[in-house]
Amino acid sequence: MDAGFEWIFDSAERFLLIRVFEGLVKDYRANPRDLNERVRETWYSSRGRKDAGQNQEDFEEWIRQLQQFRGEYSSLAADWLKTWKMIKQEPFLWTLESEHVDPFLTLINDYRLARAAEMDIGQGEMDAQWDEIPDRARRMALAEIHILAAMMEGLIRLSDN
Amino acid sequence: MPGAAQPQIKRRSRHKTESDHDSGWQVIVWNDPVNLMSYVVHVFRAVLGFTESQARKHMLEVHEQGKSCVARESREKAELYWQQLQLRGLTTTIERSR
Repeated sequence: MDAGFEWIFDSAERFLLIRVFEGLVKDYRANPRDLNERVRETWYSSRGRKDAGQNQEDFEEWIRQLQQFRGEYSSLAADWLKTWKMIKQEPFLWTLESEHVDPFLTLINDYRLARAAEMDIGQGEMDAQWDEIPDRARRMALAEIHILAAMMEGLIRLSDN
Repeated sequence: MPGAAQPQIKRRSRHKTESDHDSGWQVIVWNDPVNLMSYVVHVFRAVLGFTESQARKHMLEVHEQGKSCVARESREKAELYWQQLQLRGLTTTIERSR
């Protein structure tokens, strides 16, 4: 049986993942109404409601179900965080079980989407060179988005082949 | 044969069957600037059960044409796909097939 994927982190990667997952756990547990408006529209999109014929009640139930899924993912994320914070040696070896590849990718991707939404990062910024983004906060967000993308690419390559 | 009554043959309009309703809803995935192409392929395979080449074809359609209809299903199944795809961060809508 496939046991999973062994991942070796250096301290910078571990620091980034802890930051990312702490943010996710907090935002996943928040009431969608309390989220940044753009993040809310990304994670709990109302797009397509009309074509789908959803009334307000259907939509609220829909949001509740999405929150429930995210609640399950946040418990998983909280467990990983505990492990990452506990082990101090470097480089740090962590095993991601095969069954958790999908939630792990979803979590990292959600963070990327949220950061992009929050910082109003679109196609132009995604294609831009680092020094073409004058605002420091947006530049940092873009760096995180790209670093996490590289992690995702690596994991997808391993898991899908 | 002269005098013989001609059989009355009429084309009957086909009653809608269960399977007509089954594919009455389209699931549409829209392009966005952040999701990785490889991730979209991964999600299509995981959620919709696509083969690698089917997933890649639909991903390229999303990327190049702005959207792709990834499934035609019953309302219930289309909603399930919509939710699963949206939960994984893909911009997804459903609409009645035209």
